[in-house]
Amino acid sequence: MLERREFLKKMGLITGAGVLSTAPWLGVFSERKQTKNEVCKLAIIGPGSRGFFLMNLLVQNPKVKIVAVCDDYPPNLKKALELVSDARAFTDYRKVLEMKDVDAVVIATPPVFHARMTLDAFDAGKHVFVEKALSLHPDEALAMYQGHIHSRKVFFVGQQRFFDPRYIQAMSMIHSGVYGDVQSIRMHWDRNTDWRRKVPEPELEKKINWRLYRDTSKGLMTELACHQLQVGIWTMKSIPDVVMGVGSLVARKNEREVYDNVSCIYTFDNGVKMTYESTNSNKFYGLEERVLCEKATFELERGKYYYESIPPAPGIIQMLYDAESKLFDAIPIAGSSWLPETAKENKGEYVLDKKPAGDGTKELLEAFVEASITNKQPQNFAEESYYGTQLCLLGHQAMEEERIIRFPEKLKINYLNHSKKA
Amino acid sequence: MFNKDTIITSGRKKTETLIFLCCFLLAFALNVIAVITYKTPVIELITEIFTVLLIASVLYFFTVIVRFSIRIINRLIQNIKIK
Repeated sequence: MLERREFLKKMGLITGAGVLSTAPWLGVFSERKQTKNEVCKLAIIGPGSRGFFLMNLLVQNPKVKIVAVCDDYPPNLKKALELVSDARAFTDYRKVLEMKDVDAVVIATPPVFHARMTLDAFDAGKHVFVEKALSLHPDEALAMYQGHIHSRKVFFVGQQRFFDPRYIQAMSMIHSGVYGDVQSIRMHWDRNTDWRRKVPEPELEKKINWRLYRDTSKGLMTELACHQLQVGIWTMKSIPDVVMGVGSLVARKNEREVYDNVSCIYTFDNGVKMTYESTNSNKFYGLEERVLCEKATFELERGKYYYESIPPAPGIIQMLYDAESKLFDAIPIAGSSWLPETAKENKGEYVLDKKPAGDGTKELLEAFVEASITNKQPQNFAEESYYGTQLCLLGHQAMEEERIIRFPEKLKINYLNHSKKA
Repeated sequence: MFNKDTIITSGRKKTETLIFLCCFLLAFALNVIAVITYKTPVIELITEIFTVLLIASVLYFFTVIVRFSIRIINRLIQNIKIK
């Protein structure tokens, strides 16, 4: 327990019951001290761009030994072996799963392969870390979750915000109720990038630029929205039951098949709306998740919050402003009610005293290693991740079918407002 | 002109101090009126003292310009009369 507390302090978090009730999966670190001499033998399936990034973090963990790497694209395999020269190399993931000394696998392939690989890994008795989105098909995502339940193996999804100290602290504040009920959630992720990577040979186009094609990607929904929508569930402690959305190709019509412009609305059963917008042709507003509470507004990505009511400017300043307005402004024709309030500028406050070093990915991987060693699945983590994927896939379906979609009964698992009543 | 020593008489010092005090009192009075008019906390009479001092300085600077202008105009009139 002490070890977990120290770990949370290292993350810059104030330890206490509030943090653990907000992020119960942090309980995974409670046995860190007991496991300090243990090693988790890992295999990396798909050490491409994201997979290689994860490998770089994993090799820094003394509890990790990467014993195998697997990729059917030779440049990726070569690069991975330069980092872990003593690991065995494979081009077929099934050979990796046959290795007796592999405890867990990290799957960072394109999402179209996730379901098959994950289910096979569970069948082979391996713990699984799979990158988001779980799958491109809701039924497959459900099968993956059920595979985890039946195999009793650890199941992690690459949703690093669950371990980002800024998010944990902000969620703890929101869940405390001090800032009132959540009224609305607004999310966006704007980039100005074509996602296109250089292709050495034309026949490799789909293999390398898989994000751009409909049969291998759901575009912005599975690549970006997946990360943010799960934050909405975490915030509300509830799963939205109604989804509507529109998607289109605006700027990159001739460059890709998937949408470059999406907009969705998710409705929770208490009436709160969660809006999501994303574009691939303008980056000015970047990314943000805004949670509008009764008494404050949170900007989770920025790690800031702003009180709804801010004290007015001192009387003398107000008097000077008014005098200046009377002297220099044009005569108002509609009275003074439309004039902006002379309030202090609301610069907001940071939720944490110091800026965290990372975005939670390192802690997420550490948690996976801990869970794999202890064979204990952290509370709520798989469920939150499962619904994150389902929401992005339902949003995509709503856009494709141009209709309002209710969360299908067959995809519900026993969690939060979808709990099955006894 | 610039390498000459200048003497500020005690009378001038008193006058300038009195004028600045008047400016300060006027600025302070403005703050009192603002607190009453805008219904802000009374503590602002203390917390906004630097704003009051700033306003007093601006008022004092304004009196300096006015007095300096009057003096120059008077001199000009006297010169014309002598001629």
